[in-house]
Amino acid sequence: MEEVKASYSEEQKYRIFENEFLPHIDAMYNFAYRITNDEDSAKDLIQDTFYKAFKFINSFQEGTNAKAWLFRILKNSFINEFRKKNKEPSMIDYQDVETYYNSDDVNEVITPDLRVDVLQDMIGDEVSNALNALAVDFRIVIILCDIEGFTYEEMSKILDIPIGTVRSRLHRARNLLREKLKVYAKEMGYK
Amino acid sequence: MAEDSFKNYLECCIINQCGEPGCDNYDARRDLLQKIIDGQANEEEKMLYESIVAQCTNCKCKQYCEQEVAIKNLLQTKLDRKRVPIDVVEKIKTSIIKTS
Repeated sequence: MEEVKASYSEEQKYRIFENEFLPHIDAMYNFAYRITNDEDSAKDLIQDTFYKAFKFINSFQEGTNAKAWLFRILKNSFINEFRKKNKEPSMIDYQDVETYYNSDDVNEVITPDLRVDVLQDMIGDEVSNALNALAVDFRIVIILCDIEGFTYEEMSKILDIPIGTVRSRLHRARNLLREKLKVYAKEMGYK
Repeated sequence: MAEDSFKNYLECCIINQCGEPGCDNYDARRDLLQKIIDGQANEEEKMLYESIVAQCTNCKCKQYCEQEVAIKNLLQTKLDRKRVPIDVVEKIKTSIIKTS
């Protein structure tokens, strides 16, 4: 489908920027921080994202989903530029990625063996560490869905992947997160 | 989801094969549970879940949903939400003024 471009005046551009883009800056900063695990990197990524958003503002249709549009730019910046410049192998659990990406046709067993009351006793640091221990692709789907509340359809557009892939990746990410949380639960003394 | 899929899904649950490797309805079951967890199920799907799965106290699907909802709540309530530093906002505004 052909992309329809707008032609905003300078005044309109600033208005859109202030009213539709800036309200999402905290959510985007949190997302940037969670995927980079570094405040300075998150600041750079957020500045780069907003710079690009303004530069290509005519590609944005006023009144449409600004948050999803901005998150898509942020994700692309992270994948295409930031991650190439900042190779951080230790941040990615390649074993997790390999295991799960190679198991597309393998049915996974649901193991509902982590009690809800145990989860409720966990503190922020434990949850944060468990989330950060996931490979970034899995972390991204969990953040977009569970923290930012995007729909599968919005996530599909942000990540440029089919909805079915969103669902299966989310499922795998959640299984991995549950396993990480189980480790913390054991450390807390729960059986 | 087509009615046939629903029926198959129910049979899968009723005979307690949910979550077992080799279950023919694995994908349909996973998708339904996920939609319930994420609040993206339509009325028909909600009714299916409420009327059958949620009434089965020993159903793995129900336990799975409760656990995933608890994890979702955990992520929403226990993770710090940072505010972007003011100087970053100022830098962004300065950079877009230069752009235009």
